[in-house]
Amino acid sequence: MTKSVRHKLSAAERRSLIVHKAIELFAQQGFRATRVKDIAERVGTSDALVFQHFPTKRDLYDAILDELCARRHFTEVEQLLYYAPEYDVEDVLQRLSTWVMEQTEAEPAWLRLTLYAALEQDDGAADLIDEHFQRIIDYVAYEVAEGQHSGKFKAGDARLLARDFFAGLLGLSVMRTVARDPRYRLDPPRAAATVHVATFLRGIRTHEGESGNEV
Amino acid sequence: MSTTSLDCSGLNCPLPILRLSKAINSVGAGDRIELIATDPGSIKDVQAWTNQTGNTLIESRQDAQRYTFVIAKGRQ
Repeated sequence: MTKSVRHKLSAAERRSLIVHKAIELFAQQGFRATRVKDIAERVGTSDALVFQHFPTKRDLYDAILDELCARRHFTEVEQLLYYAPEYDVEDVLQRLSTWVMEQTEAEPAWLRLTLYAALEQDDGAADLIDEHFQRIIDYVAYEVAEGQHSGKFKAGDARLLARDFFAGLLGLSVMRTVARDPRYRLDPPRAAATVHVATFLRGIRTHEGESGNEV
Repeated sequence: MSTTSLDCSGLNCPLPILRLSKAINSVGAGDRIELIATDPGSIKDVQAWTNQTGNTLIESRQDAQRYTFVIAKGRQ
């Protein structure tokens, strides 16, 4: 008798497969247009089994968030922040921006999900994206506020400035990764990040905070 | 020995550790910081941070979604 070599998926493996296939489908056709039936077909299972793992769409969003969560890849920047007390903010922002651009280029689904969430005004999806980005915006706002407190940065709404910083970064990533406009892809992520950060800092630095570095 | 309370509820990592780092710089050796956080990532981060910075995690407890850490400043 020949033994079957077909590997039976464990519950955890099947759950992970559902999440990955859902990310693919949501990124290809949006949240609304994707039915549980489509995900089940892509996985090669039944609707009931998908519901067994994810009773609500929100549960699925949460799992996707875990999968795409910034924390998993944020380690290099966090290590610098935690263990280099005299870290240079410009250096950290450059690393953070490079990370965002590299991640979006490595996982284009990340940006496509963001755009679909915005276009479809889906509350659950918007929450997912909010949670994903909020960590980065909160951190930038913290650094802006600290710089304002020490007199290095001009006065202003730190959260608004942090959102501006992030929106610019996201726009750059959209042009590079989704639109694939060659005029935005001339530089590698690190060089593009350096220009973005320098432009932002030039706008908020006081005379006292000027480093003299020109780009 | 004094204890300073630091409420980081609602803040995502890396902010609780950045605030903790700043707070610990403002107290003397042996003094304590009681950090309150709500980000689950803070459990791993506080443990790693105290291990690597020569400070001591005296106490760590969880009450629903609220995490409380007591950290004593090291002598470095």
